[in-house]
Amino acid sequence: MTRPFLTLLALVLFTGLAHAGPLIWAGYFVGEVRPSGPQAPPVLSGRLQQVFGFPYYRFLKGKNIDLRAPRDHWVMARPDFFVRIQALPHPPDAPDGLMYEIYKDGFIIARGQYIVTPDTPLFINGPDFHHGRLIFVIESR
Amino acid sequence: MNDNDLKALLQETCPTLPGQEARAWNLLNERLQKPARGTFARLTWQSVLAYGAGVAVLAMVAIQMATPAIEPVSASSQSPGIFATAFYSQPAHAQVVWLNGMEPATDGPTYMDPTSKLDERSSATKSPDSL
Repeated sequence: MTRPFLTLLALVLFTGLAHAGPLIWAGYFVGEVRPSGPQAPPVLSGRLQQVFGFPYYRFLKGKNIDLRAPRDHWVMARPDFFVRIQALPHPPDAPDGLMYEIYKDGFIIARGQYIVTPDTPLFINGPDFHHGRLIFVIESR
Repeated sequence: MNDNDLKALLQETCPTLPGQEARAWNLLNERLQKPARGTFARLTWQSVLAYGAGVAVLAMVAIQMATPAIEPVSASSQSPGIFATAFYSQPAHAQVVWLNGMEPATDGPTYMDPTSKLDERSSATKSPDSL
């Protein structure tokens, strides 16, 4: 009688604590119809294709971001398109969240929030670029 | 000596006080209605642990249900002509923010680019009384 209760309690506790860590990766890809340059990993490429439809996704640039650092993080794709990321304050037992702002031609065009979840990345549809489209990706590390 | 004689003898030696018989019946009834042992006397450490775990699980479920749901992603436009939509893509297992209305990105310099700074020579040759 005791064991099922303890198992259930452990499951509930584990579920409550199993959220993403504070380390994320943020970067840009260019969706294209012809392959050129380094490509996105196959799993990510498949997911991007489900959303954007391009057959190839060229890696442009990216970096790891520690959300515990209390400062802004700028991820620039082009001089006229970049994203600002800032960690959201939250209680210790809550999942990590971030605020993002998207800039185009030096002006903010959109902002929002994203709760960092393992295995559920964030894709942001950017502007057209050359013969493809800029795509911004944030995922938990 | 029959029963009546015995009863009379007892009444003479140990007379029954008024209400004593009724009190005795009440006490007997109370004892018969109570369980043989108290509820807490039957608790063991296993049952205490099990009850405690059950209460904890119920409390956590109640807290989770009472906590307002946090939107996993949100997006709002900050510029006229730009439309921002956030949604979850089931086939991609990803959150998506879709922006419409942007001009294409370019490689050219913008006003934020250092190469597009105003020429400092023009400010150096400016007359001192000019605004």
